[in-house]
Amino acid sequence: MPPAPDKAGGRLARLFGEAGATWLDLPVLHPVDPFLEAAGEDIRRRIFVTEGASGERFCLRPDFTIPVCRHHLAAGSGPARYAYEGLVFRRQAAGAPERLETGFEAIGGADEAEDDASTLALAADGVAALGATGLAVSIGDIGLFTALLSALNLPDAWRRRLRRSFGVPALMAANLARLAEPNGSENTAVDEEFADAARAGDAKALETLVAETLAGQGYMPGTGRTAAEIAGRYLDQRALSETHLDPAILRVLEAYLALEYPLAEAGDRLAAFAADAGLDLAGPLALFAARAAAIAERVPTDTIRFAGGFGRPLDYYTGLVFQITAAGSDDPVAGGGRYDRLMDMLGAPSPVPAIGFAIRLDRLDGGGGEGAR
Amino acid sequence: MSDPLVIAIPSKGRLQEKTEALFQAGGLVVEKPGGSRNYRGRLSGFDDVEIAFLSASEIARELGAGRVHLGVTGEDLVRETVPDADRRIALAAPLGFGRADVVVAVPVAWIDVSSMEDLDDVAAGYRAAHGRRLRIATKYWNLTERFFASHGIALYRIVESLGATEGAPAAGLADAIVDITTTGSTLRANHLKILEDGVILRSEANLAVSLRAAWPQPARTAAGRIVTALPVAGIAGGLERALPRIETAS
Repeated sequence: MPPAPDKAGGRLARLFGEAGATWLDLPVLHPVDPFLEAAGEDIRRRIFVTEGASGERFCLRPDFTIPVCRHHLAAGSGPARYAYEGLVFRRQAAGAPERLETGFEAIGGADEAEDDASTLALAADGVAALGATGLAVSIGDIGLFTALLSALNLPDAWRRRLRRSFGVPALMAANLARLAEPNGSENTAVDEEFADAARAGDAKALETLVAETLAGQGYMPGTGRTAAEIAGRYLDQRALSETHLDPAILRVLEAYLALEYPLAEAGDRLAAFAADAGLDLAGPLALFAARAAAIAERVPTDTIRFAGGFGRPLDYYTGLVFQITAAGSDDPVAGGGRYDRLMDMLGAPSPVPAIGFAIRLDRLDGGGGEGAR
Repeated sequence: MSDPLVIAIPSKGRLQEKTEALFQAGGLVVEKPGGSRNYRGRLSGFDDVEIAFLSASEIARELGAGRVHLGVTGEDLVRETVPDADRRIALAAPLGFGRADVVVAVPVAWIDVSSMEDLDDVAAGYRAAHGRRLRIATKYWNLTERFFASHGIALYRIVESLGATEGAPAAGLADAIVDITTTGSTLRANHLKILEDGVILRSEANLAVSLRAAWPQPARTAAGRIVTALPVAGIAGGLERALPRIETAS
């Protein structure tokens, strides 16, 4: 399918313009580092990397979110909204390595519930304006899941592990199973003096031993993991090796991940779930309710379902996630979410709230083509 | 006369010595006309065989591209250098030398880290604690990416290392490394330990067969004669199993 001319504005230029977006015409090539820093080295296998004349590494943009955020950072402005349309490039086993997307990012907005709702509504309007019918919206809430892990008082290591499995059902199931079985394997491959300090529960002594080891072995101070961090995690792991995920907590987690409700009733049901489990989720549930109300003002809520287990494993996503499907296919035609931690990772001096979405034009365009499935 | 069978053998170092010794033990005499600076040689008594003297990583690449038929090189280099290696190159037989394990190693002082699962956890919490991702120094980009992905580890960065990888953590250039080791003594000297499940590959020199080269019958016959002469267990069978897998697209 021929790409639309970038400069003339995209198919949804008017809709996005009415939503206050500045149209961006961004380069195809970007420095690869910000992508690797944000998404991790693993993304390298899925992007096209190339080199500039003096050896600097570039990639063909795999999405627009990071380029838009970098543009915003460079512009140094306050809250802003942006829209774009263009090709993105991904290595994949099957299908074309390039595809056309259009999308929208709202950076720096202060009202989380309102911004969530208006962005989701704009995505639905955009997809509808492109001719899709029979829309169904799935939403998830990474903030709520993170709050659940906190309320359950899980150890940090377990929280981290479950957080980075969120939205990947197979990985989540494997990790829950792993945490539920008694561990039993204390790390025995350390010197006796470390083990003695650990057995005595003497965190300070253990930290001193680690610090002396690092210094004695010539490690540059201040460049990597600290003695406190190593000793602390050692003691944590030692405690964890004697325990495992409480079956009652496992049941709560599994029940939460299986929750699925129409958005209209999700708030009440979640409140009942928290009360049943004896968990204080008042803050995140108030946000959930405010967001649901704001969405209901804009989108027919009978098309929207909340799923407890719907999320994304990347650590820069922080709140609402959503995807939209159209009649005839389960492949999403649009996806988006809140990424309050991304601007910070890209070098913003302080955290900047942000949310956005992308629409898969390759799945909507060209009647008779892929979009017509 | 048809195109010659091209056999690539290492041009320097221990691999060269061991390969030449192996050929000699099989009664095969490698002739290097014009002395040691020549990059092409012959095999005594074989009219249609050419020897290419290349570095071990060049041998892996040339096998993958189908520009040489047979080669002696390390499995680590085949798997690191050649995309989709199993469809391009068959490892006919390990040769019993050039042993090297590709391993994940962390500072000994990391008493809390003994497995890939521990490393995964440290990597996940790294950015929050240090404002950057965990860094792995290596020259084995592809092996590292695949191995880490197989353990579900995504949140790390590779720092390219062009030598003395084992010194990178102490110098503050990286947090951990992926490198080759034979006895582990270099790692120990640099206060690094191998993770329990951190052996990515147990590599050694192999006789490798290009599945992408043109293999006319005379080349197959010559390869069979040469391989049969080499005193390596299972090597003739390895070649026999490889030959039917050759792509006959041309």
